[in-house]
Parts: sequence; structure tokens; C-alpha cells
Amino acid sequence: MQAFDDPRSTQSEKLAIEAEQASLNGNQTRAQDLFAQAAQLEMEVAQLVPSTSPRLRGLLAVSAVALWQRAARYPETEACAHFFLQDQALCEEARLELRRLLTRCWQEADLVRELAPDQPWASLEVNLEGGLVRQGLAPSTVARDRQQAVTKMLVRVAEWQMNEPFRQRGEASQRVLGRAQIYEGSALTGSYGLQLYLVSGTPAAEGTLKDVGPLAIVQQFLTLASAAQEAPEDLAALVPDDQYRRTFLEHLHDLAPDGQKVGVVSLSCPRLLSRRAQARLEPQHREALSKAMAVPAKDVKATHEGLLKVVNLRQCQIGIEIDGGEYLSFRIQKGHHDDTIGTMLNHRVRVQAEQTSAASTNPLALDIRLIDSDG
Amino acid sequence: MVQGTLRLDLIELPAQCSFISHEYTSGAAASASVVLARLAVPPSPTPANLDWDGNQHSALIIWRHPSPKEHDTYDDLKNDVIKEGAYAVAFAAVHASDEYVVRKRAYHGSGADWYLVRKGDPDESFIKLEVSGMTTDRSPSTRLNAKVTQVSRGDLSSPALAVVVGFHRLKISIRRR
Repeated sequence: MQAFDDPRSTQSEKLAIEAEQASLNGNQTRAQDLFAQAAQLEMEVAQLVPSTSPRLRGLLAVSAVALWQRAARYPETEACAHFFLQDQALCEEARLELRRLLTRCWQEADLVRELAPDQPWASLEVNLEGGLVRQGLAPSTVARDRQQAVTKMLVRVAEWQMNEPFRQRGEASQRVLGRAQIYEGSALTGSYGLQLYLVSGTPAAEGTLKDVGPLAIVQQFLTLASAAQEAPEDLAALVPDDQYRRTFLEHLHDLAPDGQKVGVVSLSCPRLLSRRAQARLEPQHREALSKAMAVPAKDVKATHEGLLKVVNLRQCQIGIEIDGGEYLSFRIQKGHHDDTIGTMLNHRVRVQAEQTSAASTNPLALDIRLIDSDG
Repeated sequence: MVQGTLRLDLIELPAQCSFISHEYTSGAAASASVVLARLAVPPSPTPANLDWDGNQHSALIIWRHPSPKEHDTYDDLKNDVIKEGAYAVAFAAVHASDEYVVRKRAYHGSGADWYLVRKGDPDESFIKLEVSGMTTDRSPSTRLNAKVTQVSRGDLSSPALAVVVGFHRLKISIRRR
């Protein structure tokens, strides 16, 4: 009997589907029980596959370990992964994935140990590849800039979901931050990625905020990223609020790869259904996002390039030093650039400005972009 | 590959995919029917086009108009319904055109959604399947290229199929890596 024909394999599949549905319905306890049952059956089938079928054995081994992890049975996850890693004949790709799952397992186990039993949490994986990114290595600015873009956007998504008025400046309120405390774990083996964990400071509340927990925030984040991947103009239907939409476009633009320093940025949430919790940004998406944010040509009266030397958010002013040492000042709209301009300081930027008629009034900067992407 | 007009039978899908949960395949088929009904495509059997690596084939999508309950269950044209519906059409397409049978769901991070085995072949010869669904009038080529890249990168090095189901254009595009 072939492995896929084994009734336990079919039963495992059914249990996993039932578990995912339970998870979507918010019944995590039942979901984890079902995942554990599925994992046990999958492991039994995987163990029967001989080493002479390394691809199949690898596939089922990874499947079993992934199911144990979805069940939050971390000792079993570890034991199962180690069991199959002993098999020297296992295909290399499966070995790599098993090691990655082990790293994730240890991180989650550490996190869960620190949390209260009913404290909600969710993970978000941001994987970088291509360009200057290597296995386990990436230029620090490349990683840091994307980490900032993601964390800022997660907070904005939380505010948006909680129907908070758009925050013009400063930090998010404690009410929001309490729902989305963001922690960073170490990168998974065999990749370069950011492993972020959103933790709610309080158990799920009753009433209208009930669904605005870490998992809902991450899911919404991925929905927005997927929409931007498809077509940035699709965000208009999802996010009617102009300020939030623009902010999301800016953060997604900063997150997307430039094709030189980073080739691909993949986003996923292991705790959600894999097929609905993924986004994959490539350089063409960064270009599309740039176009979506572009100021209409008719509004732009002057374009200047230079080193951004001064940022004063309180007085809504910036200053750039252009070639030749000349210094130009611009006004900026209150709250428009707070999330993104900090990372541009001391980098070359392109400022598209509105000309003013009064000689004593600085031009208004309509758009500010990094010229050297990723700085 | 089967010649002539291909029958992509969504009604028979649960029987064709007997190794996958009946509830799942029924739900996926229902999702496809909701999407097709929303787009007001011609009734079943609905003419479609299947493009397999550039080779064009005429096809007929066999489906049942969704019940009011199914309409309510699967709601608007949200991404999940489109994705699930695309799975159903893709399963039917690869089965009708090259006798592939869906055998296993893919784990997270594999770069694929499902695993297929051709009828009569050993399980060790499985290939990956990555599926995407579209309801807009945009050309599927960009999405198809992205899916081919995605399924090529996955963690299990193996042959793979990338499928884009264009519901609006009634076109199923398949590329083999």
C-alpha cells in the first residue's frame, strides 16, 4: 500500500482541515487537539516510508512536524524532527525545512512559556532573499529598514482595525499598544528573515474589540500586502480612509524589494491557513506602489534632490543639502511623513514640491522619496 | 495529454479527489460555483480555454448553480472564496488533461499548495501544485510567472505545476516547471 493510500494519511488530512476550521472559529484548544491527532497519524505513516523513497519520506516527515507544531506540542515537535533528521538518506530540502521548523518550535515554546495561559499571540515571518541577502546574512540596513516598516505598519493596522482616528504624530496610544506588543525572534535557520511575535497584553476582550487581537492584526496586514501585490489600486476598496491608505502604501513600498539589495520579500503567518496567509513582494510591486503614491504631475512645480539633513516634525519642516552645498527648506504636512521620514535622514532624497507665490514661505513638500533605495 | 474538449467536472470533483476530504472538495467546488455565478458566466456546461504550456485546448466547466445557502456561506468575492474556487477548477483541469490526482495538502513553506501524483505512478514521483485565482479582466501572464517562480523556489525540489484560473476570462493557464 502506498503512503498516500494509507487510511491514516486520509484521516490526518481530514483532521487537519477540521482543525483549521476550528482555529478560524476561534476555538484554539479544539484546533490544537485536532492538529495533534493529525500529527500522530501523519508521523505513523511517515515512519513506514522506507529510506529508499527519500522525497516522500521527507514530505511526510515535514508534514508531521508541522502538524505537531500547529498543535503547540513542542516536545513532540522536537522529538519528531530529531527522529527524521537521523535519517541520512532524507533529501536535503526536507532536512532544511525540518531544521527551520525546529527553530520556530523553540522560539514559540520560549514565548508561550513567558505568556499567561490565555494570552493571545501571533507570529509574522518576513523572509528576505536575493540581491545581497545570503543564507542567514543580510546587510544590516536592509533588514533594519524592513523591520521598521513592518512594525510601524502593524501598529497602524491595529489602530485602523480599532477605528482609531488617524494618528498624526507621536506614538500609538497604550490602548492600541496593549493589543499589539511586538517582539522579535532570531531568524530561522537557512534563511534570512525577521521573526516577529505580536502579543496582546490582555486576554481577548468582550464587545467590539473582541476580534482585534494579534492574529486578526497579522491577518489584516497580510490581506493588505496581498492586495498591494495584486494591484495597489485595490487597496482603495479595502481602505477607504485616505490617510491610512497612504500610510499603508508607504510602508509596503518601503518593505518591498528593490531588486538589487533584496530580491524578494515573503510574508507569512504559520498559525493561519498557509494559502490565505502569504504575500510575496517583488521589485515590480515596489514600482507599482511608487506609481500609486505618485503625486499628480500637474501639482508638482519643482523637484529637488539632495541629502536630507534636517527633520523637524514639531514645526513641520525639513531641510536638504543639494549638490554645491546649498540648503533648501520645505514645509511638510503635519503627520504625513512621521512614520517614514526618520529612516531617510542623512540619505539622498528626491523632494517633489509645490511652488509658492510668497518668497518668504518655504515650498510645501508633496512627496519625499529615498533615491538610494535601502540607504 | 487527453485530446478533444476537456470536461472540467466540478460536480464529480469529490469522487475524483477521493483521497482528500469530501467536505473540503465539495466546499471548493461550491466556492467555484459562487464565483462563476457572481460573474454571470454562461450556464453549465460553460465553455472555457485551457492553456497548457502554450498549447490551447477547449474545455467545458461542468458546475451546478449555487444554492441560496451556498451563496450566504461563501459570501462575496473575497479572496478565500476565489482561492478555494480556483483550487477546484485546477484539480479538475489537471485531472482531465493529464490524469493527475490530488493526493496531499502541502505544509507551510513548501512553495506549493498541494501535491499531485499521476494515475498509476508511485507516490515518490509526486509533483507540486501552486494555484491562483483571478476574477478581474487582467491578463494572467504576470500572475502565472510569479506562481512559476514561487513553486520553483520551494523547499522540496521537484517538478511542479503552476495554475492560474482566470474566472472572468474563463481561462485556465498551466505551466510546468
